[in-house]
Amino acid sequence: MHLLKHTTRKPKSIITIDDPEFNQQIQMETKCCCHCRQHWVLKPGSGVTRGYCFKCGDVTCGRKACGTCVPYEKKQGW
Amino acid sequence: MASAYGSGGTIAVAADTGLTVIGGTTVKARIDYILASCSGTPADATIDISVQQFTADGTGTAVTPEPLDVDDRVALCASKKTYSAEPTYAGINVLDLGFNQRSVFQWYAQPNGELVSSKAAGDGYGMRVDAFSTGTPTVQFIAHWKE
Repeated sequence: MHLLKHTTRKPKSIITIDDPEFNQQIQMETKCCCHCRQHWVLKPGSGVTRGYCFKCGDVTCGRKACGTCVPYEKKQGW
Repeated sequence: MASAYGSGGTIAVAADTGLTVIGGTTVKARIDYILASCSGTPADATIDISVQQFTADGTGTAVTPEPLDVDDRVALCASKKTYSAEPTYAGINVLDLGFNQRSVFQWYAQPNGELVSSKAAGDGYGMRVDAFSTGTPTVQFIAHWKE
């Protein structure tokens, strides 16, 4: 059995975890911070506050250090 | 066209690094696949793993990256396992999850979700075990990247 719950239109990664006890594969979608590329699984109603960068047009992880726009691509020297 | 490579390593100690992918000074490693699983006797334990960026490499055993296409050139990025001195981590868990010892954990990056090393010497990403809830299972990491 394969369980997939779409939680976002544009996931940045997909996590799969096999559950041998119930013969299932659980699949989760993640978003990632456009400034540090931290990935997190979307949990609607979790209460975790994330951010949004209007320059990058993408979500941020919500850490104070990622409140200032320094794109991940710039940090990594692209 | 980017060439793809893979490497693997095992770790049986908590709070230790199991596998690293280290970018080169002329090329970046774009990690797009990570697998974590446990060998040994199946048991109910939680394996807490994380992936972190590091800015300075530690002391470990070199792993020869395998090209996923056998006709590709030798990898320019490096990979290490079995660390005796941990890399200097940047302090951000770019991926942090727990899974049951009986399970297999896989992470697939989508476009613009890859973990990319910088061209600074010794910069890369490490896959580490943060904690075991019980016992000391052996965790195996496999990583694929493009360069």
